[in-house]
Amino acid sequence: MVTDGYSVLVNGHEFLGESVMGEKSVLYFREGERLSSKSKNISSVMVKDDLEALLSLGRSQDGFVKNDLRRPVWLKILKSRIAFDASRASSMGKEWSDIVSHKDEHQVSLDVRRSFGDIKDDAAKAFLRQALEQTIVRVLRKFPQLNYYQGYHDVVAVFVLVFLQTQRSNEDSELSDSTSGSSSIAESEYHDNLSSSSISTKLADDSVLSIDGDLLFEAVVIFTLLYLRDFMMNSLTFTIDQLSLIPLIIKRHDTNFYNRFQLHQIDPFFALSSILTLFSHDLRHQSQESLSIVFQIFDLVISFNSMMVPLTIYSNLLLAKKEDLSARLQDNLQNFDNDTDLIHGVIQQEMIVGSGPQLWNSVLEATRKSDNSIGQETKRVVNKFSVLMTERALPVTIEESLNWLEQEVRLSEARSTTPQGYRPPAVSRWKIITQSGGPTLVKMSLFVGFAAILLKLYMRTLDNHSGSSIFTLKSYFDHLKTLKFSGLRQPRRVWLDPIQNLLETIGRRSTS
Amino acid sequence: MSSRKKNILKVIILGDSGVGKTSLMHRYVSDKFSQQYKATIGADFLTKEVTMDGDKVATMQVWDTAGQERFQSLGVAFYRGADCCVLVYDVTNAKSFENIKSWRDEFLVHANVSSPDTFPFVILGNKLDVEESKKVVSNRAAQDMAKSLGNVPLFLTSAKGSINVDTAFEEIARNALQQSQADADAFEDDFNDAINIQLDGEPSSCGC
Repeated sequence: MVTDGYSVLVNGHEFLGESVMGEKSVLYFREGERLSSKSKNISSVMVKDDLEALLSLGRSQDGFVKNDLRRPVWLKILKSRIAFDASRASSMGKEWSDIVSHKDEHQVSLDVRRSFGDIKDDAAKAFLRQALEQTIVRVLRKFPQLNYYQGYHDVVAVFVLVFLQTQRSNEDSELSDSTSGSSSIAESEYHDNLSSSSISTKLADDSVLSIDGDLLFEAVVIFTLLYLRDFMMNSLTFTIDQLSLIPLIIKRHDTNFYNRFQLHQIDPFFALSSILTLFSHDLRHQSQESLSIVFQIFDLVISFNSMMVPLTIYSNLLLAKKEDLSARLQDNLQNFDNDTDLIHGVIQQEMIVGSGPQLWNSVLEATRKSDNSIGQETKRVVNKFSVLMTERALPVTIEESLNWLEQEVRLSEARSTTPQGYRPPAVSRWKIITQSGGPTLVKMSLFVGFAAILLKLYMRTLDNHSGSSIFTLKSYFDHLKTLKFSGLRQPRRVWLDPIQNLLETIGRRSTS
Repeated sequence: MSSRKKNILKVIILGDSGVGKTSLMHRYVSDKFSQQYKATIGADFLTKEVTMDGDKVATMQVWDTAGQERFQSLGVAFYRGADCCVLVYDVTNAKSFENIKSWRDEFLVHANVSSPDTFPFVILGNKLDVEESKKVVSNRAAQDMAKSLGNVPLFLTSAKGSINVDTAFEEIARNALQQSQADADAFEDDFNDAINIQLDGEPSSCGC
């Protein structure tokens, strides 16, 4: 009997809490019915080979419902975008284990050792870690131009769980079967054909865990090349570009919130781990329900074919919590050294507490209805070969996708040889303001500022102090230059600094 | 002017991946150890109220960072306003020990501290609980390095075995408090200077 591996491991249910009995049971059965009918739907669409119908099922409530379905469905959709075949890939060259190691493998093993910490069974934990490490190393050796980042292991861990199958020798697997109902017969055809690339292990309770390594590898390779490229460059630059879209989305929906959280000047690094890992880093360990949310987020990325999805989700999450966030901000004004820490701290704390399944379900629902296509602003912020730009050009061959990767790597390297190391996204944000935001306003204020300087210079000249004012200007520009080359971020705000510092000083001193 | 921002002591923990930064933070703040800590991505923080010298109360804010090199570029954002920087190595990992100096330099480059020469660092050699045969960094080498970096306080700790962690963080808190007060004093001077300059200047020179 094949059941969902993770449910068996934690002896719970993938979708529902423990309160099966009591007042929630009506809800339970209604939900069970809904899931079972959707499962049947997905299975029959798979049989009909109807890709469009499959995508729209993935975009609707509950996504692809459960991992027994996700395995074949994800593979089918991903392979329709890049035709990549693991067996062909390895027969063409050497076996992956013979290829020279990748520079980041040490980091991989450090992170794998800290993965699946929530799995109680030691044998199961070791098995999952082994599958995780093998898959990541195989991807990196196959595509050495990719740079591993901490968080990639969280993403691949989600795939490992989806591709994990548990076979139980005894028949009492009623828990995992309750949602599949009669559809389990239709599904069985997808998971019985274990290939030679399977790895497996037997647990103390006689159940057998297995993973088809080749299928897992294929899914991870395609997903990586399609959606994670930006994160796997030699620096975080393109990742930060993606993050900077979050404030833009927020601004479109709620200017007040945008202003209150100073999103025009504070880099949204608070969203880093969520975006890099498609929320798997922050959500995975909280509960069964949150694990199910993670799977559904992956369902959405795959069926919308867009890495805008995580950015939209994050923005929707902030907006859904804006009242709590504002209250928390107010409560913490005195508790942080500076505004960057304050905003980062408040958002991070709020995200850790109070994001229950209900809130998440409404955020996911809002995201399903959101426009997940990229807008004009995206095009100005991200690079030409960003995953956000190339997603419209699918399907492609593996060679074409590798060409994108190569071009993007080249752009990234060109950017990181500039003296700054990393370019703050503000430059592109500035472009947006001038091009779309309020061009007249910007030009007007520039004009007024410039006129004031000229006027002052003119007055000084009248006072016969022309020599000294030129000297002052020169030293000012020298100061600007020094700041720029020491890699500091001040230059763009230097004009404001003297006043700002004074104001900050006064503000900080007088508040209690 | 008499009432001021809550006394925040901002402490940054740096060091190679896997040396135990997150574990040390949790051991200190909540006196717990778990095998389940995940790799840190970006930066997390925890706070703890501390009392020093019997009467000084402050909030220690410990910022835990990612060890992978690619995340260092974010440092600029997180290091600002730090009052003490904790450099961690793993006594069973020679590379992590050799990197202590570059972590310190990295911090000084990005933190933009007012006086780099006197800014307080504390070095922790973690994982002291592991068996002797696995230890590759000698106490002598560690002491020499701590001395060469300007007599930086050094503690050999174990987050797992709860060895020396509290003692180390007491020292960290003391250093941070001192730094925070020194900064505040310097700030006060600057502030007064700024006012004096304004008072001295001609009224007509103000172009605003």
